[in-house]
Amino acid sequence: MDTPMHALVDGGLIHRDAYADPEIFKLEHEMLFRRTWLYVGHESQFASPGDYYSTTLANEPILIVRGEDGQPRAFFNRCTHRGAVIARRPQGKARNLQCAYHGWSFKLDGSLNFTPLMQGYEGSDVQTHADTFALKPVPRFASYRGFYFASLAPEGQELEDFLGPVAVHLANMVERSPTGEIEVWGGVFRMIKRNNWKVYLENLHDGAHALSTHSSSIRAAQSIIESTTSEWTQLQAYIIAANSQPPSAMAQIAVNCFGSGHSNMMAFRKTRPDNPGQREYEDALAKRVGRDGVEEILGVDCHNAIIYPTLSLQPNWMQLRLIVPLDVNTTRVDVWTFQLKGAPDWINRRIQTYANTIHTPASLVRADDLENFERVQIGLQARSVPWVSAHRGIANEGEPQGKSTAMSERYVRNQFDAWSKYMKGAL
Amino acid sequence: MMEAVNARTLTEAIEQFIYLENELLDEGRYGEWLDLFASDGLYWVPLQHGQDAPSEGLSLFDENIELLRMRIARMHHPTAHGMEVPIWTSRVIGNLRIRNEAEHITATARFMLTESENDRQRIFAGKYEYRMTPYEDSFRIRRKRVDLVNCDAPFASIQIIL
Repeated sequence: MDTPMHALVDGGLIHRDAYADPEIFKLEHEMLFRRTWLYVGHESQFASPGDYYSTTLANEPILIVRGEDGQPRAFFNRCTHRGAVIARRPQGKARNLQCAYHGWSFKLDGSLNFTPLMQGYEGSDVQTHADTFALKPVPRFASYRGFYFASLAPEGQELEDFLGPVAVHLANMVERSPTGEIEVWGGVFRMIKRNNWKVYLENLHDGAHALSTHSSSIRAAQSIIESTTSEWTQLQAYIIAANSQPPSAMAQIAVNCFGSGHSNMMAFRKTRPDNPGQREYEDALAKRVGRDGVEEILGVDCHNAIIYPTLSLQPNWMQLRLIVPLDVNTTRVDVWTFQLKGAPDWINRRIQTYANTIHTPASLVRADDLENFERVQIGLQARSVPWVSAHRGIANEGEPQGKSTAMSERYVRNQFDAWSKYMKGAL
Repeated sequence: MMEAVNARTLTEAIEQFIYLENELLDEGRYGEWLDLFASDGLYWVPLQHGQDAPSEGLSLFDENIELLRMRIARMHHPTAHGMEVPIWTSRVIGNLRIRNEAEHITATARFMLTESENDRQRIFAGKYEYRMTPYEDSFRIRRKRVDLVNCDAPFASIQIIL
């Protein structure tokens, strides 16, 4: 790191070290990822007592398990004896959590259940202070409408205060279900991106890249969109061809920038087609919430919302993307697809079709995004050229927060406003 | 005796057909490759192990002829940025097994596919399953299913056809 922290962001200028310096990446872990709330999982992934789900929280292995009392709890996925990871598989069901190494076992509430060969521990802390050998709980763990977040920081903002106005989009995903219930479905697309995590995040409301980056897939999709007779093929082609909207149309797409780096972008694809499938779905939803309720719920027409720093959701398509920074130049993105429980097959197939089109690592849309993200990361290795530009829209949108459009980079400046505060310890 | 000869001829014909199918992909002759499919043909790569149908979960690829044509059109487009540096592949297949069933012939083979792009090399491996029907003096593919040994692993962009 050649540049002092305070000089990495200057209005619309961002220093390349923010994206390409391994020391900054380490500092991000300390100051940002280890302090903020991060999304860790959905309640449907640990639905019944004994169900567990293992993941990571800012690189640390954690384990979420639903207790006999129905309460989910989050622990570090690490035996208190010799440190072995307890749950090896991403998901499973257990009566007790038993370590494979020496057989120590823990109850679903984390307390020490059984220590083999106890006679060797006579008089030691393991015998006299067994409670201190319980699984260590993650400092903070909380749910918003079934979406679970955790934090390594013992103190800080409450989850709802942290989420602020973008919480409505999490709620909206649940409300879209005719039964009011949703579940993770179909597997998880995990995608390796050869770019810093922020390069990806800064693309998510960017209407300005669409034509230049995606012209190849747009043209390809346009070549079949009229000729196909299949509703589902046409939907896939439509999803891809919608990137063809000119800058004048993208400038009409609202983007809103909130505190803590969060933001949302309204839809640029038509998401309520006039056809029998949509009508059947809306009828089913109306049975639960009434016609006004349907308008209210489906009227929140958000393409994607960013819960800074690592979550992006697409409520219209029931997709949730978790950004996992691996190293300064590499990022994994896990994409979860949700199904609306008890909904007609058509709407769930529509959700599946979107995931298979856009979020598969074989997506012909994503291929050109990933190529360009990697080009950014390669280009930023040029330390001799220190600055990148996020100036678009700055003349009228100098403050980080407020109303914006998909043709402005206000949301990037808003992310860096939060980033700078975290990095200085002010958030 | 005659039946044994016929069985061997069929096996050899299928073997040659699958070799051709793989060679067309390795040589980037995607138009000719697509011609090997029946009009209702499907190319399917499940995301999860043990998936019986595309409707049961998400798929890395779940593409009919039109979607494959779209994929190939993008590959050939001059601004397919991800294809600017050519991607090369080389496949080896083996363990060919053939089952002659009522509706179609099912052939399975193990494959090892090496991909090179931008000075990087990676391996895809797994099982090909072809459902095919006789067509003139050859066959048409009704479905090519690809089960990757690491189907549920994290992947960098997959721009090739497996």
